[in-house]
Amino acid sequence: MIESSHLTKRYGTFIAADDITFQVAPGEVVGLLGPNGAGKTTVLRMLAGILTPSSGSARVCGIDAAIDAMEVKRRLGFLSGDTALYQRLTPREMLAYFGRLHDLAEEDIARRTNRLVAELAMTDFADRRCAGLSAGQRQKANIARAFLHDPPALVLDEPTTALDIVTGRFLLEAIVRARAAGKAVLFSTHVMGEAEYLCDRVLFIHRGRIIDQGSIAEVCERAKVRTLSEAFLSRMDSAERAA
Amino acid sequence: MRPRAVWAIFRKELTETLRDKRTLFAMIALPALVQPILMLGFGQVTAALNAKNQNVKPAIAIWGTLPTAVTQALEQKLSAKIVERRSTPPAGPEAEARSLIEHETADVVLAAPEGAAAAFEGEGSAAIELYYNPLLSSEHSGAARHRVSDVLEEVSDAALKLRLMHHGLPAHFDRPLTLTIKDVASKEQKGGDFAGRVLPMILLLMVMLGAVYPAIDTTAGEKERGTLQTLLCAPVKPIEIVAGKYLAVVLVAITSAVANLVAMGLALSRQIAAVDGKMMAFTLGPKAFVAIFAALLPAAFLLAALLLALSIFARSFREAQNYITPLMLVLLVPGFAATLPGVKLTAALALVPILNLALLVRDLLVGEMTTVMYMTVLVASSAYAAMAVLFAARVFESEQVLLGGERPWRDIFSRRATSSATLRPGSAVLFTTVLLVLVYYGSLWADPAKLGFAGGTAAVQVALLLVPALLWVKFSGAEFASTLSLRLPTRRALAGTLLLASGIFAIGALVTSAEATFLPGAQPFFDELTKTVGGAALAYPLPVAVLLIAGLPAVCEEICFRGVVMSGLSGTGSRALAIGGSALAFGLLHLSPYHILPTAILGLALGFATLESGSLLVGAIAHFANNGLAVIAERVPAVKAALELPGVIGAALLCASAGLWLLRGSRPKMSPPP
Repeated sequence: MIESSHLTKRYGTFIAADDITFQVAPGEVVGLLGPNGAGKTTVLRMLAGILTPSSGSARVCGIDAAIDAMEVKRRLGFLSGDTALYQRLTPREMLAYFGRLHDLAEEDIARRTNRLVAELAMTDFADRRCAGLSAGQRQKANIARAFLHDPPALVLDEPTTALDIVTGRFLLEAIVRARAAGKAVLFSTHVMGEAEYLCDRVLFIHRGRIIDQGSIAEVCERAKVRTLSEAFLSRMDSAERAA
Repeated sequence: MRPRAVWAIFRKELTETLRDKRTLFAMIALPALVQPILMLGFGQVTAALNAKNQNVKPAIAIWGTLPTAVTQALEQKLSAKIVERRSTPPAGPEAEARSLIEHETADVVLAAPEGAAAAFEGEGSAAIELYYNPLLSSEHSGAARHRVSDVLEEVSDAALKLRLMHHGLPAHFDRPLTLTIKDVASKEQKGGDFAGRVLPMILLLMVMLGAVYPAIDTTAGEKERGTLQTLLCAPVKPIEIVAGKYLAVVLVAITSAVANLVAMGLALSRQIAAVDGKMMAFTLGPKAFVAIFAALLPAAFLLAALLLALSIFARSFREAQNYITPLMLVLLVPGFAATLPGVKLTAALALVPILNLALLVRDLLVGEMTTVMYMTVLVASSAYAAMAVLFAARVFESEQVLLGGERPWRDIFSRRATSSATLRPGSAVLFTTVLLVLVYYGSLWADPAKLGFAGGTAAVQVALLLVPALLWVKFSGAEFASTLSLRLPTRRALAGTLLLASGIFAIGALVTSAEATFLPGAQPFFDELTKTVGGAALAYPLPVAVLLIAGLPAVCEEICFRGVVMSGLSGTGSRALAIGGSALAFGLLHLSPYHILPTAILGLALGFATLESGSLLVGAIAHFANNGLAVIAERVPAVKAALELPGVIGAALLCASAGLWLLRGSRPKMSPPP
């Protein structure tokens, strides 16, 4: 469903992502774990068709994002922790706006919006302007935006950043429901607990390269530790020393 | 380009702009408050200063002996204060007078040479000098000069009358010729001229001011607020984003400018009435409103596009303001040029961006604008605006600009790696603009009057159309075969082509006839055109005439319009836009307002035929048949007469319709649309 094949992004001599290859199957949640500046956001943006790869390919549902970014965006829900909302629109107006950009029919937009407003407990603030919403309410509106067109694939870039524990948990449950619905989810985070709770597999990324990948049990076993946090730190230390 | 997506972006931008109280205040409330305050305040201050100067008793220094009548008149009529008297003027009178006036001891100095009084009392002439300084801030000296000189003129006139009476001569003895100059310009014209000199720069600035905030807010503002990434997550093309934002900025700019102008117009009309109401009038009547609105359209189209293209580069509101300030300064130059006497809106100046707008406003207000000139300015400004919008769309494709990078300019201006073998829509629009300028000016060189019909036609078709088109394809890196649809038509398409070719003349004939009936001036134009083409058809041997009138246009114009332009516009994904846009370009390139409609409609049929068949040959054959039949008709009167019969025209229309129906979907299955 989501495929990255030798994906590379160069900015002059700096290589932000280097030969990244992995796949995310339908109904699977894969965690992209790495320290700040490791290249997670660059990889996710290339998969979402926002950035053009220098080489390699990013495919969603078999469509190359560099060749047909429009079709990739139709099939992808992209959400990040710092995605901003239009301050002078209400969440409901924003959802209608993005529904139209996704070529949804007006009745579909209204139906899906009502459903998401109910599912994400947005009734109280769906008709208030986004400028007056709390961080948690804003992120709920953003989740609704990413889920509105019912995409088969989700790319989530540190989506729980700055969220309180209740809203964060709410988001994680939404991801679990998406997995149950057969969606492929690629998820980047700093919080190992979230990865342990959600991910079927994890990818460790360091300085733009994938240094390990597998199920949580596999990466722990290879690092000869018990927890994901320990495995992550162990692999990062080794990679740093090797660099 | 999806109209629904553009509409959605337009609506969203407009909603956000109108919900910003600062924008609303700056757009509507501020002009309504500030303009009257500025105008009335200025008027009040001016009137108060004038009144004050009129009431001040002038302080006069008198050097030498003035005639008694003069001294008395000054004291009686002006209540002048004589602040200094000298029996004779000093050696350096100018320097001393300057000193006295600058120290405000005297407002003016009157210097009479020895014997002046005696000359006045006798029958000589008293040469009196008046010193004053009009540049002093108090303006007392300037005001006193007028009042004193008026009194001296009165004294002189009275003395002259007495002298004439004394000699028994009539009152007008010294005026063998009396010239009275009458200004026949109406009050409205004077008001229009005044407004025409003042308004162009103000109008441009108003449109600019109206467009600045939304242009920055929708681009740099969106980047600054972090919502651009949100938008980029959606399946929306850069051209759709820019088009939606552009339309919103244009609408806000026009609304804001109208609000400003209404406020200013009302204030200005009051001001003119207060200052010189008897000599001129200026009101924002319906005619002036239409004129201003007509001028607003091209101004808003262009300025909104320029502002949008500049603002997109900025990462923040403040940075955008830094980019835009130079543009505002640039606007002042043509705005000022339009106020200069002798600068006329000529065909050449109509193509100069901004200056053409300033001159257009002036001429519209004075009532000297012709439809052709207005259309030229509108088309030129729209073309420049389209280029700016496409540039902005290109900027929106640059991730270096949108998401930050070290070399955004290189990213924008580098040739893009593309999987498409044909041209892009922006390239087609740019090509049309270049062609328009090239043909417009090139026609001066390729003039049939200088080169003869054959030389002129060949020069236009080959040098100004064919060669630029081929070079454009070559240097764009596009494939010739796919861009120009160089493939053979299918059998079905060929059958459709023959039917279309046999009846296409009727389409042009009907449109031409309708235009000649309803559009004033069209009939003489078509008569002249028929005379020129008919003359050429008879002047050359048949093969040469057919080659010049039918062969060359069928090849050169088809390559230009159904090849380069339509192929590029097909990249928008809209067949209607590709056919309509190329037809419009085809019409415009004939450089006559009467020629646009018939050629554009002919272009619609040719474009449809080429796009549906996937073969340029189809359009070329139909074009050749259309023009070739005109040659035959000129040479064989019986054919000409037959082509005018309603039955023949009806049958031809049926043939053309059947041909277009057959051509529909006749493209070879292996060749997808460009």
